Amino acid sequence: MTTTEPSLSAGRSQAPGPGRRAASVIGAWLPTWDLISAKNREIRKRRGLMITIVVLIVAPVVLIYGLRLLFHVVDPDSYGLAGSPDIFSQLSNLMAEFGFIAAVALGAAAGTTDLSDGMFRHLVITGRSRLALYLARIPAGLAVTVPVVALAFAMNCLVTSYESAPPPTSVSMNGLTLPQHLDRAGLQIWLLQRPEQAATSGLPLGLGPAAPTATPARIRSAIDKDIAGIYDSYTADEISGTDPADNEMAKIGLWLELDIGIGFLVGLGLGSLTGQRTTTTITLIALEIIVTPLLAGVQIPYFIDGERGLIGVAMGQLRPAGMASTNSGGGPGQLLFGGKGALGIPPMPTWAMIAVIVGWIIGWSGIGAWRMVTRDA
Amino acid sequence: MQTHGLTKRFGANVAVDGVELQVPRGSTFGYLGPNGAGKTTLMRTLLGLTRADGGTMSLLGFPVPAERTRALARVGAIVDEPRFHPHLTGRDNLRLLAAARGGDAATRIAPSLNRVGLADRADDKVATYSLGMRQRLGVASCLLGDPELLILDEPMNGLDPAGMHEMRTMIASLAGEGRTVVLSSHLLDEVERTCDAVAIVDHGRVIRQGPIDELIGSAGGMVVQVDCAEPARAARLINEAGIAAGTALTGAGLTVTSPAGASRELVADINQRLVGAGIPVYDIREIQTSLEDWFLSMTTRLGDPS
Repeated sequence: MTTTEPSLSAGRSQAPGPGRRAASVIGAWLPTWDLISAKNREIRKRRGLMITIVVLIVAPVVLIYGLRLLFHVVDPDSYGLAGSPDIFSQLSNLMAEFGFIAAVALGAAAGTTDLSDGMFRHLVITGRSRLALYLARIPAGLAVTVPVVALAFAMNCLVTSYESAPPPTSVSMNGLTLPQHLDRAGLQIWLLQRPEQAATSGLPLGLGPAAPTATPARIRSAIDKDIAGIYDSYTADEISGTDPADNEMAKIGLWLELDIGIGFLVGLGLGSLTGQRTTTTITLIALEIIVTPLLAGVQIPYFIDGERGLIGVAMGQLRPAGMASTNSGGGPGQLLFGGKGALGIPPMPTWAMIAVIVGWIIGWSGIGAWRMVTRDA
Repeated sequence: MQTHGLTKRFGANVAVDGVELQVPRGSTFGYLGPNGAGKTTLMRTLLGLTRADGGTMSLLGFPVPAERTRALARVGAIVDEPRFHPHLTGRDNLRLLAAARGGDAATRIAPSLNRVGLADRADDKVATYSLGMRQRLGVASCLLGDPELLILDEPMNGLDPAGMHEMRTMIASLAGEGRTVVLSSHLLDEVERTCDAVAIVDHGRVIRQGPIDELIGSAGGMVVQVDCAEPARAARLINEAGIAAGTALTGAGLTVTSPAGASRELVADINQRLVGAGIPVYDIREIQTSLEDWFLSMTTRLGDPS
């Protein structure tokens, strides 16, 4: 061991002056850029975790489109183009589910590994504000999830935009072939002009077994009565049958980033609270794939507001219309867990959705930061 | 470094019990005690890693925890076994700590690694490091802040003899630069070799503190070992002369304990009396009381289970 290296002691200050200056910086609660990038490097160098994130978020998109492209090239008669609005929607939903799980794993790791690796003590001894140490983990972790999600989603958008069949010229709904781009009044007029077609189609007009023999007047009355629900179905079918517009894709991309970002923040907060990576990850995965679908699919009397307090429910209600698949009948204000549209809970007001989402973000971040500040090192 | 009445409890267990410490600037100070005596807890409390339940403390003149940030800006510390992110290299771990320290800490990474002799392994993952290398990396992390005060908890733990020698040399060189070094240990010999002052702690309480020479000197009278013919007659002769506090026959001959305050002239006096009485003396020497002897007499670890 060399003990004569001069460069450390040569410029050493004996006076506490420089210490005071440095202290004013390191005592600040805002993390510095250097601290954020150092923490980001620490996270990125966890090879197993990075592989897990890529496998969960990027690999499904690559695998599914890769196979569809391959099948189409080999046998174009049997297999259509790789992209379609339905595949786009299903992959976006898959990214949301798997991405949330990946983000939870990342957040739990970011919230616990300083403790489990024994680095927390070293970091606290530097004198750096503990709050700054916690806050640095947020951009450091999001700097991992955001580009990975963006990459996977960009692939989804590109294949959908450039490798999918031409958009249909009509909307197919309950056996009816309708023109596109009708507004509600236009749809109502179109149906009123064709009462027999409407009656014999699968439209839910409430005519019962007598539908084929119902009088035009009765059919028109049923159309007028149910036009709101019929129009919702028409809109959903029209959206699901066509490639999402650019602005719709942008909305879905932002929604995915928000959903997965929340997964990271909740994982970070709970991980920091418990100090247990495995417990945190398992708990939040159970919340995402078991508890939320269960509660979202069933309306429990006197507990509706409790169900709405789940982040998955609030995010589900905020889910963009373009993520609704043909089979799910989803859309704005509807829940799509499991891809089948868990519609057990009535839509919640926008302010309530935002309150729940903001509450989860701030609440878990606050809890994690509080534990970081008060924890014995 | 100063503490007054510093107390830390874990439930009913008082780990640090009203500790009064004064560590002069520039000294190498040993905090000495048996395992479980509360050494690490005291250091954790001083560094703000855990909250004190009572008393006051200051580091480099700054009260802690009120001005903990200012104090720690010029403190380097290793508490317990040094552990780092195993998936990062030694250099990357120091980068993370330098980023937390801020200022020009990043510029000290390379010199610190050089100084502790880890430059060649700096880009290897810490998972491949031995305990001794992690100890050295811990010292390198301390040096990032160009510390005025170094607090090292059991720095020799787990090191082989060569590693202990290197660490001792390192500590001496750091102290030689005017840095204050506080180290805790249960290795009495190491503390005696490394430190110029100590505090003895047992059951969370500081029993004694001061310069090592003074503490050993105050421990009691000098002991003289005499190898002679007729040790029993020699003992009787010395006792009758009233120049000793006590004598004892041992396998090696005769042991004479001097009265308090006796000087080394006693050795010559004993020799003169024995030779004068016709008892051949083959060897006579003063036995140095070690820190270990003194420590064992002070602490309750041996002999007094209470």
